[in-house]
Amino acid sequence: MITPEWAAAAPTLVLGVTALVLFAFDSIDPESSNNPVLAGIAVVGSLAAMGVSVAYLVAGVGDPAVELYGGQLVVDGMALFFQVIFTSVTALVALASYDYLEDMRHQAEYYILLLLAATGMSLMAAAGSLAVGFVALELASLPSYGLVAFLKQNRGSAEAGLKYFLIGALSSAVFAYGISLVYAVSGSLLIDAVAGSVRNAGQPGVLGVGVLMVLGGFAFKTASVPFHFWAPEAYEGAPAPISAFLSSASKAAGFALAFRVMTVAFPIEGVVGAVDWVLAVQVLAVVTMTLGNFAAATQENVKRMLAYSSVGHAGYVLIGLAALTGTGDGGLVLGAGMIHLLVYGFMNTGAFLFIALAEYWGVGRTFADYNGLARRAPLACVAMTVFMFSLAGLPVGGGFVSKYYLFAGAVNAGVWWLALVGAVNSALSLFYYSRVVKAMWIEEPAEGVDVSSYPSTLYAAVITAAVVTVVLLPALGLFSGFAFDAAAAVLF
Amino acid sequence: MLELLVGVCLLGAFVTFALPDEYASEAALGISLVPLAVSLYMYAVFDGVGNALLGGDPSFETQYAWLTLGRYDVTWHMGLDGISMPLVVLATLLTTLAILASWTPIDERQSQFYGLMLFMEASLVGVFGALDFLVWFVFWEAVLVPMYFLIGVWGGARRKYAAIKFFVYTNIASIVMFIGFFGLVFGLGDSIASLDLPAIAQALRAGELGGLGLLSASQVATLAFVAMFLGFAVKVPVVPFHTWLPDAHVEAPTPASVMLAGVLLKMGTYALLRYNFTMLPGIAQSLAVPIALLGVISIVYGALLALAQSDLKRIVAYSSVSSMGYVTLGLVAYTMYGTGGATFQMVAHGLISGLLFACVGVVYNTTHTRMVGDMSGLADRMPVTVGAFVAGGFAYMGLPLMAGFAGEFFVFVGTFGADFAGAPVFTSVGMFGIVIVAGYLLWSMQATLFGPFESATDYEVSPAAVHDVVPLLVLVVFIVALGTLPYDLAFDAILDATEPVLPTAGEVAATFGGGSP
Amino acid sequence: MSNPWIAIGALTLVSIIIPVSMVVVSALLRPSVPEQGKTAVYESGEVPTGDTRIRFNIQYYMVALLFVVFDIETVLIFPWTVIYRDGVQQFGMAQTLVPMLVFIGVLVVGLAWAWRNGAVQWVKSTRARDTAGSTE
Repeated sequence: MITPEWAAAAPTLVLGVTALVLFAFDSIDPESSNNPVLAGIAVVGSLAAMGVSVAYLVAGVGDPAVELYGGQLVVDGMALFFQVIFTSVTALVALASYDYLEDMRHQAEYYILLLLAATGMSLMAAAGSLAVGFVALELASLPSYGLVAFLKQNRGSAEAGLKYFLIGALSSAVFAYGISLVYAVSGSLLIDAVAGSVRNAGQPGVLGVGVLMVLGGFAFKTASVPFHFWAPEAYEGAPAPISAFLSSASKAAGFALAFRVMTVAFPIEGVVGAVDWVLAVQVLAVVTMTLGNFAAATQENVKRMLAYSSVGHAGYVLIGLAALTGTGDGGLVLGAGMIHLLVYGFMNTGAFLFIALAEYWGVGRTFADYNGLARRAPLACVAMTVFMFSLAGLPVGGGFVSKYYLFAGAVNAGVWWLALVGAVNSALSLFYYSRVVKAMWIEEPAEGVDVSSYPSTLYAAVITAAVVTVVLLPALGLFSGFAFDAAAAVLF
Repeated sequence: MLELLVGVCLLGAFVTFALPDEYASEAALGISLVPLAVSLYMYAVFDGVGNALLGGDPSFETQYAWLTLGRYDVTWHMGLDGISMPLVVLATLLTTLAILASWTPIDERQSQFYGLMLFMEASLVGVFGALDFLVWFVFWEAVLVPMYFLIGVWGGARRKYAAIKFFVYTNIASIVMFIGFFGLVFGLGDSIASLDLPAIAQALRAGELGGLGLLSASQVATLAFVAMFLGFAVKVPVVPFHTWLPDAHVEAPTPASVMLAGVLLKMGTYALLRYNFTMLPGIAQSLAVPIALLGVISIVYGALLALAQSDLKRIVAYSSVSSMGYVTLGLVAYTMYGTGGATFQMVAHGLISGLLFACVGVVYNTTHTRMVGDMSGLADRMPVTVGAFVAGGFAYMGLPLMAGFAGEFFVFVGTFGADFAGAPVFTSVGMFGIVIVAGYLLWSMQATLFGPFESATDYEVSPAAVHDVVPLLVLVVFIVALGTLPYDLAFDAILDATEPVLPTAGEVAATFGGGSP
Repeated sequence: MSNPWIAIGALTLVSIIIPVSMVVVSALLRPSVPEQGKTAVYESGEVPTGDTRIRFNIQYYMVALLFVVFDIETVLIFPWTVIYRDGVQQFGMAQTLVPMLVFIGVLVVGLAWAWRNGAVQWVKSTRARDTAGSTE
């Protein structure tokens, strides 16, 4: 508990205020470009929000959950845990963007949109009603569309922005319609209240369609099948730091809302008569991870490979929902999903930021273009190697432990075949991740690549992400308790 | 103490990695002397009793909480018993010598090379020291990463293919093994509360294993045994899972070959002993005949393949397959000398194959060819190297008073008395392997080392540098010492640790042996 | 009890029948005099030029967006003013006034930013500027 109560929303507020400060700063001096002050404000603001959320998490502010505005906002362990993910990714991305945006126009808008999207995500994690969830989702999505199309002179970026916007608009509509159907059956938008009235609600068909449509909305935000089509385009076309932001933070935000809505509003034992959404998620999880991995294996473009691998990882995290069969300890596997998102937040952000570094140097986009990069920039390549192996689940980074948590949790919940599919996929993924490593270290360097400058903040962001990824391997034991407690608190 | 060992290696790896290339080789040697000294000191004060997994009292034991997942605690649990202590010394010794042997052949990206060597040393010590499954698995996988780079970056012409093949083979094996092991963990249900290896081994031998889903307990045990055996067999390697090995060896730079043959292969047999043969003795005994058959096939087939090669490195690589067959054969015998002798043979073979690879490396550095037909009469030009080469060859053939003799002798004594069907036949056929070994080693040594000097390449052949020869001589000294005083130096400790592995009748029954599996 | 859906169904039916029947009846009754002028988009009036896909100045959208923002603001302020007096009595000044001030403050920051970045500044397009320059 915390007094005054509204202070529990401080991480969200700090992010929002930072965005407003950026607005104010840009109003004073609209013509500024490449201003370290802009990046500085964004980094400091997101770090402050991260500090607040970590402090709250450690101090136990979310236990018991703080309900604000009649339950519209719920600040509990899960919300704070996800806010830690969003804020740390935002800080890394803002830090890296300083160099990436060098000499580009509209930098203030870039940071403003970044912070507004982060605010929306933070709000998504704390949404206590479907309406707030929807508004927060829009607040997170709309700036993202703009950010994807930020390189507006670049055809790829503009195309990606448009595709992202169109599919986003479609899935928002689906999501809103789903909410309306759920409201029609339950008579409430508050997640808690929905749970109470769906248990013995009439019209199971309407409820079932509503739940599936809401699930579709989440599938869009988390880049899961069948709403994943935008992901490869958007991640490839967007500026690389934004790809990092979308594939880590935005995905986590989608899961934050999905975890809360699906587990609290539609407890499976209450709605199984209307719709067995756990079965649906199981199918989605298997299809998503398999499709993501196989598509990633066939790519020649590194950024696109990472984009598909990001789809694959959405599949792994979906296990967190798909294993809530009611047998076994659901808190374990849900918590494991949260932990995987935390680790993923660092390793995947780092990987995309390395690509940002490569783009900064003018290195090409295919695997072959990365040949011999390790000779020019060994430190960054060590970091990238850590990211790749950690994403593949080798025990050089936290990715190993979080995958272990996920699969063990799935087996514990009796869906051992999900864990098996996950493990096989994970083994497969090593193939394409190691291609990057092979290109960097083993192949002979290509001609004409000029790595002359070493952008300091981009480097700092990549190295920080790598260090955190490695440190999370032994240190995850310290964090995992928060995630498991938070997940258990949501479930019961 | 073990943490210090791992920590020094890791720290050294980072320091070396960051150093400029000029100083990397000397720095790495200096740094690697620290873990070597520490491990020798540990060896001197070693006071472990019994088998670490079966209620023994391991030396240098530490245990700290790490993770918790539901029912299962994961702890940082390390400790050494009579099986792992000699292997840790082997790992630190061979790393130091391999670093020394790299001074001549490695002439680019030195700091990365030596950094990876030290990183690998840290992982190897971790593999042999870990007493918790997850900790062990972390190190087990971590060994692959530096080896992949060592082969891929500094290897020969087909290095990319070899590196990928090595990586893919051993990784798939790891997954299979991982799944098999977790089958056991879940089958044990509530009787274990952690992934602590001693707890799991003791629970299994006490017959706590239950069914899993549609599978009965004995089916779970059998499937898990097979999965783990397949996983480790790739690493050993047992024929027919050996095909990655010649590629990896031939393409790897010599120091990496030394590590690969000397220590990495031992990880496979070490894991076989620790997991399959310690945890499920009943299943192992009922599958003894097929396993022994695989062992014998490895011995004979490996030796025959070696006979057909003309590349010195390939000859030594295939002979490793053959020698590791003895270890498999000894393990499955389940007699005091069989299991103990197999463990002893791991150490002995580590030293001997390390020596032979190092010799081949020195020869190659000078002549730039490894083909038997391309050279002859090297004895005149590089007498010390040739002397070490011959010593290594005789050790391989099992000349008495050398480590190879002791190891093979123990294994044969142990296997001959084993009570699975046809044990004497398997043993005799296995002994025949030694004849083939003698054949191919004598032939290749005679062709390359003796007779009038000739070389198909136009390089000046002169005695090797001191830093090239020192590792050879050190290894010869260790081999002779181990062969002369096997009991005092290692075998007493090994027997103390391997004896508890031999199951009582009750333990055989508890792990589904005796009857049909 | 009769089913209320019957009434709705009947209404739907009627609402379809009436327009369709009007079209059909007039088609049957009227004389047919085909003439070119009748096929024009505007039978009487201006002759349309160009197609519909012309580019509007982006400034229209800017103004429209700003309008929407303040439209929403009014929608919120209206009910707020109605309950303001009761709100102050029940919850006190701080809880009633401050949230609206914050809300308006955020909008003001946004408006100031948009203003400073030229959203309400009527910039001529380059083509318009060029033609203006050539006439001088």
